[in-house]
Amino acid sequence: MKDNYNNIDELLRESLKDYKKEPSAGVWNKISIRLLLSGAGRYLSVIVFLIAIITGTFIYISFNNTEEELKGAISETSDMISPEKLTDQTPGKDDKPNKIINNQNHESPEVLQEKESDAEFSEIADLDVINSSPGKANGSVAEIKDKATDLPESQINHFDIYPELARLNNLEKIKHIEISKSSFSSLMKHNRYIKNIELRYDYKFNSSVPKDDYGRKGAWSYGLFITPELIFINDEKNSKKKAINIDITGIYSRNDWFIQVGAGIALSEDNGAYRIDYAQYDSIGYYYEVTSFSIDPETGEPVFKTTVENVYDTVDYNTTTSTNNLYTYFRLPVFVGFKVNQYKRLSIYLKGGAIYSILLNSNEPGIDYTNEKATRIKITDETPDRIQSYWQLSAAIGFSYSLTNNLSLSAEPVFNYYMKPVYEQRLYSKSPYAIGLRIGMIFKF
Amino acid sequence: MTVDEKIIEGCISGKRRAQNQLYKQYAPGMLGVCMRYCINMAEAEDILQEGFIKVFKYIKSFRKEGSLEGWIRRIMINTAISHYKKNKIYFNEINEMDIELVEEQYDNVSFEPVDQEVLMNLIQNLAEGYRVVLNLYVFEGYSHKEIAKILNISENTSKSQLSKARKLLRKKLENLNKVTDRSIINERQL
Repeated sequence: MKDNYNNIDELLRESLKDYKKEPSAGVWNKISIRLLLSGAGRYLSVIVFLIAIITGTFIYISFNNTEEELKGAISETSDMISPEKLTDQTPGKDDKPNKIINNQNHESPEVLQEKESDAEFSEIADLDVINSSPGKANGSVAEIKDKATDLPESQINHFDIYPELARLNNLEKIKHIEISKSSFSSLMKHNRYIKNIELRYDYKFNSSVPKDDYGRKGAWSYGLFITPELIFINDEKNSKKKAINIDITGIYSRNDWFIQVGAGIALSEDNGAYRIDYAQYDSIGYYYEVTSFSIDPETGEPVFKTTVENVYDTVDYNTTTSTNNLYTYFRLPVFVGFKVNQYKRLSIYLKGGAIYSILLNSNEPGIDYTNEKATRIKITDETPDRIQSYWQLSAAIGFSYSLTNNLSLSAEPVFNYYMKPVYEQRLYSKSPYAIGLRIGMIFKF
Repeated sequence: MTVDEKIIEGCISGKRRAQNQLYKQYAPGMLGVCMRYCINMAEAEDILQEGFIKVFKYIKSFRKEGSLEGWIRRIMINTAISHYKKNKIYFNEINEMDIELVEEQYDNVSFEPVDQEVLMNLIQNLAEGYRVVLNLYVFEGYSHKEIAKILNISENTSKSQLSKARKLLRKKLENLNKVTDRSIINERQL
């Protein structure tokens, strides 16, 4: 820097030409994320689009099939509920259906009550409730009511109290009539309310496949999972690295099949490698350096003043050191699975699929080298570059336990196979694989 | 292949490590450039971030005719100017005669060295218009005609802004006792 400057322009230019300032760490993180989004944005948009298409397709198919299933159920039950069949299924019934019981034969009240109950049953079955579509439930209730005016007083009151049961009654009762007739018919009188109770009880705890009260087979549930895993690099040293994944998943189940689509974050550790070249000074001897001399007045001889100077030899050394790096990935898992067995609240399933991971952030702290007896020459970063994204194939066997109708716990030993090594340079010929345990909760709303 | 060429190739391929190396190598110097155009560190880092995004986006178009640092520097300057154009800098037109009068008063002074941080602080405290014109003229070497075209102002306005910027800086340097009358220096030498 000069002692003075002729003008202010020169002062400014000369003083600030080499001005440097270290930016904060967050600047590079922001740049990195923006570069990632701009580069992977098109892949993300394609994946999100595919997920939306698949989800929409499943919802559409599920919605359409619900109507068809219900119509099918109704038509099935209409076949089952033909008056002739009902006659056969009603033990001890001798009278023809559609016949109003009267007491012209002067029967006892108990006999009369029994016959009235039987008549109720056949009258209900005879009504066109079963042949109505669900949308006409109210109409069929009205229909029931119209025809109920021909029925005894007790029947009208029952329909008024439980109007919707008219439809449910026929569907569910009929479905299980084959099951229950032997267990209850011999024990109790035919009373549709007892049958309802039996059926509802039976129905409610019957199946672990998500079903609502209307018998639709298929529903959405949502899971939150955490997966600690061990990654086997498949290198010469058989290195193992740890990782942890957190996913949020949407699960669509139908019958025993299900599809899972999710998104999550993976944190994966790895080692950085650095080579340090430095020069160390080894002492190989010394000599006396003459700093001044004087003449001894007595002897006339010169007297030398000396200092000891050490002699060093500079030798180059190198060493390698490692650091702990942490890599953050954005994960998109897609699975298809099948329930193989169920026992009460516990179910076992198999699933397989693929996971696409995108590198979001690399935390590579770097190193510094200080040594009083040595001089650092250079530090070379030998950490292999990581690829920006990769695919994994995944397979798991899962165990799910239903705590309530809406909440389940699950545990899945999982095996993931990397389609290719995660490093840019093909250091190792074999792809890594990982073993983990995926645990989580599944919610159904 | 030189180190710079390797880094450029890596950046073109989209390798994060190469991009990080390029950033680490040039970010401190470029932040220094951005700070001259900005009012504070936070704003300078925003310009720096935007500038490096453009660098990585357009690095394929770098023709390797000049230095990479010079190319990156131009991107940073253009980013800073775009930022201020968005914020709409309003310049006051001024009479040309007034500019010449101001310039004459300071022909016989010299300036003592000043700490970099102090100088940077003085520049950042200037009004936006003064600061941009001062930077383009003094540090980037543009003429008033070129500055007028870049900032969409008249040449006279560019001259007046520069003159005012110099005047303000001199005043502040006088307060710091960094300005000496040259006639006094000549007397001392004699």
